[in-house]
Amino acid sequence: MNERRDERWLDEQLRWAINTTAPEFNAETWKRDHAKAYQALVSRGQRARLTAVHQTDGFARRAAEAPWQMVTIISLLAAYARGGEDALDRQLDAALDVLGPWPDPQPMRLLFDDLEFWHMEGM
Amino acid sequence: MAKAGNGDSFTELCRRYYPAMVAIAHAIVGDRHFAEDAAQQAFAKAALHLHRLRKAGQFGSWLAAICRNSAHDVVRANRRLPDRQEPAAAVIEPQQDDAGPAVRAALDRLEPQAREVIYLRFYDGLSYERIGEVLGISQQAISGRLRRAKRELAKHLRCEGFDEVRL
Repeated sequence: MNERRDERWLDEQLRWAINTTAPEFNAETWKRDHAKAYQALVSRGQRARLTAVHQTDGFARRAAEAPWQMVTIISLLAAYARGGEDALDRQLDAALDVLGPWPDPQPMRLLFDDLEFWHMEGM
Repeated sequence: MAKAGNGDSFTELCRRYYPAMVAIAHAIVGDRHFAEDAAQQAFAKAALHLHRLRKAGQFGSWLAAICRNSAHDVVRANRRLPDRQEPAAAVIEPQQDDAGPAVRAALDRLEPQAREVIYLRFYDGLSYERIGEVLGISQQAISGRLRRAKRELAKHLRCEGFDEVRL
């Protein structure tokens, strides 16, 4: 073998040896196959979200540090009292419309903002 | 996406990390189908224990640790399978110089950590950014780990008769 085998050659060999079609996650199949885990995730998330709302309620009654805070809390509480989680989501959407688009550079953060309602369970 | 609800946010995270998790599991079980099973089991475990994750920024490396455990569980549950045998459907056609079998044998001889970073990098060309997220290390560290892994591979290949491999 006279051909020189360098890093480029090795990379090519590795692509051949390892590369397969890109695996694609099928959320619906996963939810069906792991229904127990998914339901646990969803139900705990909802419970935590409700807990968070009630905690916010208590906070609002104690004191708000600034007028904008009180207005924000009141608007969210009013929305939740009026129409539950759906109304709360709509109110949040309306607030986001006013405050501007969600920041694109931190999409992971946004996903976790939602999931981190979990952490409020233990508060 | 996130506004759609916790479940949807979680499945979106799963979608993002799926290729990396399959790559990590594949490096351990040596089989694409079992690797996908292990990755999906890892997501189920993560869904059940998400409340234990303290820092959102560590989700990738936390998930990777769960995935490695799931992959080892799959290996234990399938003791009859050779640890790292590709299914017939995944066998790559030999190239001109037919180095494929030697490369796969060399991969098998790598330390798990080195094999993992090679799989992550060459599994559908995952980005350094995503690899860094799941390994919890900097892109510079990934570069170093890859370089060392390739040198080790080259050494094994030279032992297999590919004397000209020089990095």
